[in-house]
Amino acid sequence: MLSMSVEDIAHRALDYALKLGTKFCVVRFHERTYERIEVDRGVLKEYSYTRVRGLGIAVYMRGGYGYAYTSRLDVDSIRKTVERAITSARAVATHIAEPHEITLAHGKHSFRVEYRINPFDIPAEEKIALILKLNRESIDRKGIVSATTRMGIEHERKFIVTSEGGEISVEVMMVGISHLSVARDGAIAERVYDHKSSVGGYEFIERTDWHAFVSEVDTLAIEASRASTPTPGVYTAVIDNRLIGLLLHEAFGHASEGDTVLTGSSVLRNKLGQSVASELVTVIDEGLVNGGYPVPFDDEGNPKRKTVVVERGVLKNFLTSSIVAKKLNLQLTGNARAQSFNYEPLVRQTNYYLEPRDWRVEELFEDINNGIYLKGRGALGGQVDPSVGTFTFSVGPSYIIEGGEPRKLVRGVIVSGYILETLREIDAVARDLSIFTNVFGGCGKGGQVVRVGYGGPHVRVRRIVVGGA
Amino acid sequence: MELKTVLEYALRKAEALGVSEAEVYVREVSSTSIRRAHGDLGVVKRGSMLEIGVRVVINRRVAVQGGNVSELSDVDKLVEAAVRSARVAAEDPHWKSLPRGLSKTPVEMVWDRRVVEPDVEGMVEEIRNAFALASQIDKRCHVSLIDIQLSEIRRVIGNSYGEVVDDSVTRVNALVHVKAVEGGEESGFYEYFSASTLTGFNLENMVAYATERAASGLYAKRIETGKYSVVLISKVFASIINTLIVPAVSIEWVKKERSPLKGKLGEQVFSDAISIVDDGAAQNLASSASFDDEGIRMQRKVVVDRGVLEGYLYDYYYSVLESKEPSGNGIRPTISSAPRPWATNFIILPGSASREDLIRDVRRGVVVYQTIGEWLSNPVNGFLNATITNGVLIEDGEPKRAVKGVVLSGNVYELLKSKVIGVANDVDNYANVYAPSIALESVVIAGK
Repeated sequence: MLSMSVEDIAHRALDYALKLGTKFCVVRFHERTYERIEVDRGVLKEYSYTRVRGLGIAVYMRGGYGYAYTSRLDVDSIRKTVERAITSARAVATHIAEPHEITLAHGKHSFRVEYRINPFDIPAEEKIALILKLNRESIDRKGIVSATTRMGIEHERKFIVTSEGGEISVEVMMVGISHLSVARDGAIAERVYDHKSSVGGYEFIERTDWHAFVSEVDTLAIEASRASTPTPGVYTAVIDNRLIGLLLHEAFGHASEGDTVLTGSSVLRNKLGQSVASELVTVIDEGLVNGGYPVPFDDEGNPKRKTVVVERGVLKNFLTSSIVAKKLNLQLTGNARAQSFNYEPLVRQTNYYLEPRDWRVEELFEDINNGIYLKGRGALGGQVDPSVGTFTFSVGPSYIIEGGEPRKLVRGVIVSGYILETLREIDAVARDLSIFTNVFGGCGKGGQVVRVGYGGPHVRVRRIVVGGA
Repeated sequence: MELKTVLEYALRKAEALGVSEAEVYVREVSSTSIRRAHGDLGVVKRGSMLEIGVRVVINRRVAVQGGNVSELSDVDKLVEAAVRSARVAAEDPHWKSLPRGLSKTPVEMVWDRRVVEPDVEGMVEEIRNAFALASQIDKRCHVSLIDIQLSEIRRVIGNSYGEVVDDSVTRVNALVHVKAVEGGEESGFYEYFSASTLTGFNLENMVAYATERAASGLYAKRIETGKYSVVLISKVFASIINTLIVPAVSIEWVKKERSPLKGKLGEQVFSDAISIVDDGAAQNLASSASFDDEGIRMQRKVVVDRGVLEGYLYDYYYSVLESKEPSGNGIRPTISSAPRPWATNFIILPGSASREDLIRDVRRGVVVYQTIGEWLSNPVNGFLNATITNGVLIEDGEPKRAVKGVVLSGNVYELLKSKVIGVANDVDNYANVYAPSIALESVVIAGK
């Protein structure tokens, strides 16, 4: 327990900032509690409980802003932090000659994820026993040489007050289990990592068949260690729900973030209203969706609603924070997000996904004679240069498509290309929308990681460059 | 709340809860970061975070907990959680003890007053001037981002054996991104700097280099799929080493069957042109300090000598397990993680040729100045994949045209053992990995 209440701490900071003459100010108390169980090769490696909490203060002045934070929550530290935010804002504002007002949240709002069983209340022994059992099943499996199994539980709480009278409270609970298998076949070692995460309580852990989950990951690793790598070249590809989500998030989503556009670092700048993808492509960023991570309000306290980024191939909107919306003269979309109190909010995606169309998944494969079915499970992630739209992505074990069907498993698959070319090459979009989130990771930008949702339906891409190890 | 007060409070609390051994790591990170992006989007961020990591042992059951401290009562909660966690932990039959013999190596140029008490307004001005520089050098270019981060880290580590060490280090990290635009063509380039102090930091030079590279990247095209000679410029090579070789020399990876270098001590694993040291006590490097995250003094050790694998990196636990001297490589990835064996400053020693000589000797190849995605390569089997975002096609030693959007691939062990043409005398770093430029032959590039 803190000696002052969270509400008291935040209001005290705001009142002091206003007293010192601040006009636009957001104070955010931000607390993240994380419990993590990790079993490595049959032994409990980690059972940890971490809480990170503190206060962050953003002071906006003439188009720039100062941000200060403290983990110490005594009155002196809070006052010093307010003063630092103001002097920092002044240092920036000295060189900016564009006085303007910004839109900050007003009104009282609160959001809380409902759940039946608080995962933190489940005895440690019970949670550890489950992870130990899953991990030992895996290392006993023939062909598996190493395995790491984890459980993650996260509670995030924010209390935000603004100089416009806004007062927003958000609480989110999330749980999940991940599994990493390393299989070896002769000299070839192959690893497959996967997780399942869900927003809510421990009931998700109880109702999921984790033995089947671990067995599937192991089997894939074993099969992949025996598989060959694909011949590098250009392929027609079917991309699954997860991978299209990851690809879209990294290669297109970041380029649609307004700060990237503003700084001239986005391949999408000056393209509003233009065609940037096939007519089958509609891209959405939305705060609350099934399967995703809930962001009802952003970290400036503004509501995050549904933003149509691309509609039938035409670029309609960029994602914005208060300051970026003002500078780009666009609508405020509520996408200012921060990892924790010691970070200033940046423009970030929330739940970014491709809208489904009407194809059946099997139809996408039908006329492909020599192609590849690119899978997200086991994908290591990707990297992009949003200024030119290049992307490179390590995909999970995938299948070579022959005669209209996925047949031969291949490993070490890397895809790369220019996102605007790739999105134009989409010639079929299926009806099977799935959205995912991850309690073990998220999206990195500017040194900050935030939870996101990503996904879409299966799609077919006529041409994509595949490199193999 | 002084750091040592927090440490002693936590140790007393752990002892009161009946642990066999306890170790407490307290640090306060005070940072100033100044960022300015094209479009006048500027922010100055300042603050401090007090953090504590606690490792307790109850009858060979070990637990680690960490978090930040808002009030002293947070310490109680954290130590209680650590004890609860240790009670349910599996007994580790190999456990001997928490680190003993805490000590420091005298190390110079790891603390800089200019970082601790920065002239914020002066730096805002310096950044403003640097912004104007790119277009003065080349009209097609502009700076899109400059980000400078200055931090002081004050640390104290102590344990229930009454041993305590403390120090203060500073860290400087800077990032510059320059964009070039001409006739519908675009190109961008990132330049990084990281060191312990501001010595050697020159923002104008960073902008000038990024400008030159961004401009050279205009009109870049893919090349045909095939095998090429490749010169990896030092930062690119350092990043590849960071992803593929650093994990492989951690004794933890070796013991866990994840390292391709398992069982290869004393063997020729790389070309004899490659020698690697790990040196946590070097002056002014990115991870330099007087002791590691377990309080063991930093030192220099040979990892690879002329291609022969000489040793792995050890934290205290594995050094006891393997009857080795601890090498000062106990690194905590986060405050709440157990220390693990990892690199401090990981240095590939330079060769004798100049970078220009390496390039001049290329008959048909690509000089790689920047890649993305190299960190997606697989350290478990050594497979390298990286997409070139800034490269130059060379024919008969002469630059022909810019290259981008093609994928380098191959097994790093094969490349570094039998495909090395030469190692340059330039050294640059990607985070805590330092490397020279290197020329390799017959590397697969997937392009058109």
